[in-house]
Amino acid sequence: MAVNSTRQLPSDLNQLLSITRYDIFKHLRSRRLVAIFIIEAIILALMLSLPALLGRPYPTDPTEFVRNTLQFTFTNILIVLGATLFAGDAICSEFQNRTGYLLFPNPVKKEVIYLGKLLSTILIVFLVVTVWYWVAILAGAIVTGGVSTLAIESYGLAVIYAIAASSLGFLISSILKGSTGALVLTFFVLFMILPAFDLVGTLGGVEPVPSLTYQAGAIGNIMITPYPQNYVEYANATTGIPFNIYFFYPTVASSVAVMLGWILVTNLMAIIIFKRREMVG
Amino acid sequence: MEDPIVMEDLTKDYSKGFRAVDGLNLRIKKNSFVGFLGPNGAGKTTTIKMLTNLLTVTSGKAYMNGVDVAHDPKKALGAVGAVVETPEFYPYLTPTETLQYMGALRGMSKPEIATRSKEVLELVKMTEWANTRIGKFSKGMKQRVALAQALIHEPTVIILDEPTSGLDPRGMVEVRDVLKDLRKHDYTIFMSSHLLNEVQEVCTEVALIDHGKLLAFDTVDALLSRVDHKRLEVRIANRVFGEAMDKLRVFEGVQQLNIVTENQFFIDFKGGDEQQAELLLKLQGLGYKIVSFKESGLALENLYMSLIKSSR
Repeated sequence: MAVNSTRQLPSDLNQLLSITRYDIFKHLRSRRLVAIFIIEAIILALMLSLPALLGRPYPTDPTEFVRNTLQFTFTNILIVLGATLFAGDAICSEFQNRTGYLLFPNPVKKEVIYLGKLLSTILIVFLVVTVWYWVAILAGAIVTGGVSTLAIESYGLAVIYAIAASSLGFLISSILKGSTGALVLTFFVLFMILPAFDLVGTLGGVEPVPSLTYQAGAIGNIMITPYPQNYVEYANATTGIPFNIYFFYPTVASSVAVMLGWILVTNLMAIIIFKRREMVG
Repeated sequence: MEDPIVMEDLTKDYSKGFRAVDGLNLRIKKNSFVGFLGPNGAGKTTTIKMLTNLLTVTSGKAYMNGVDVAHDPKKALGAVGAVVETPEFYPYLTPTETLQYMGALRGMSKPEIATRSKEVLELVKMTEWANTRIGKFSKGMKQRVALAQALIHEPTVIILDEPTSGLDPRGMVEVRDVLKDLRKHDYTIFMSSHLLNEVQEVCTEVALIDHGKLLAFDTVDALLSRVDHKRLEVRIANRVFGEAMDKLRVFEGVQQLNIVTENQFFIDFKGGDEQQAELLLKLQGLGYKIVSFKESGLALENLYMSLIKSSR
């Protein structure tokens, strides 16, 4: 066995792709991916067969077909679940499970490790969202004979939201010590805490523009024609409502801009934290 | 030529002001096998973590093959293989896949990884489990895979942190055999341990550390020649009696007496071979019927204990 000291190290990009490849193995061999596909399959099967089971006609408009099949609530839950399961413990598990002792002493920059793992998570959530949308879009094409461009735009927004939600999961995972805590916090931030801020803002008449979950509303809104606009129902003595009720709808442009902002900011913060984090204990 | 491992005033402070490594200066020469000895909490693992970029350095420098680890970890760790603590593996990968992963990160080609994987798995006696997922492996098996991944890319420097820790006696012997085998090659090896017999058995040089400070650094032979502190175990056919013991206590070189049973006692003794022979005669002269008179423990252990004692 000769010692080889002359080997050229691969570029950062090659190392990033290696990390992505082996991290995808993790997802492909995990029960989490199987579980999320089972959930997807059950909901899609139910929603696609429900009109036939109830003896009602299927919509003839492809956009309406996709909107009725997917429902924004289900799409949102699926993306939150995906971000939780595939991003929530991506970083902290390396510390908690001690696999970092294997990976980190390698000649690889920490930001490369981070980006490689992020890319693998993005690819997996992209796969989950793609299956979800394209089953509905193709079923709609078969039933209605047309493909909805608005559904495809909604799909694009859903992919951006999935990346932003995963990035938030990576940030939480970079900060927290334990996997369980990171998974639970990611889920609750996306499913309850941010929506609670959205609700409070709306009740107070303040449009929650910076909120990720508020901006994700565009995923469902885009399939409504015409696109809904903000409005207020003013306090009215005759109807008995003692306060104004505000209805806010993010525009597609603000939705894309804010979600991209979340992707950028959360990942920058997460990389800084991950680079400074030490393998203690 | 640069020494492959250099530590200059290396210091690590943890939160609450605890200093784990305190101005450590150490230069490890090429092709040496250095044992890094110290009691629990001495700063061994912290030092190794700083060398492998798992911890940030508070002050001072750590160089691997002439490159500052803190400044350019990728370049510094390029020709380094490391087993730090007992690493866990990705349970969904097999040893072969793990080696492919680590090899790819090191820039090895696929045929090269395939050839080297076979070699290193054979070396650590894991060929039989090459394609079984690691999730089901015992600690000893994981430790052997850890050694394999540290060797896959033919590093010039190998850093091992208590490589036999937690292994059963058979596992320890197997890993030590692997370590002895590594000595035949052109590696520079830096291995922490608190097992003195292990270090004495496999290392050519020893660095002793306590409270984060270097106490001694020399070849094993040179350190052993410095040992004049011994613990002697004496077994007698008759009984220990007080008057003779009092006379023994004041004999030259006797530091302490420790009576274990009425037929056995230990003497902490400072002196060379000549004085030790005199001591035996003295014991016989005092009326003891000597059954056995021998050094207890390893010479290195005695040196270790005296250095640790004097550093505290």
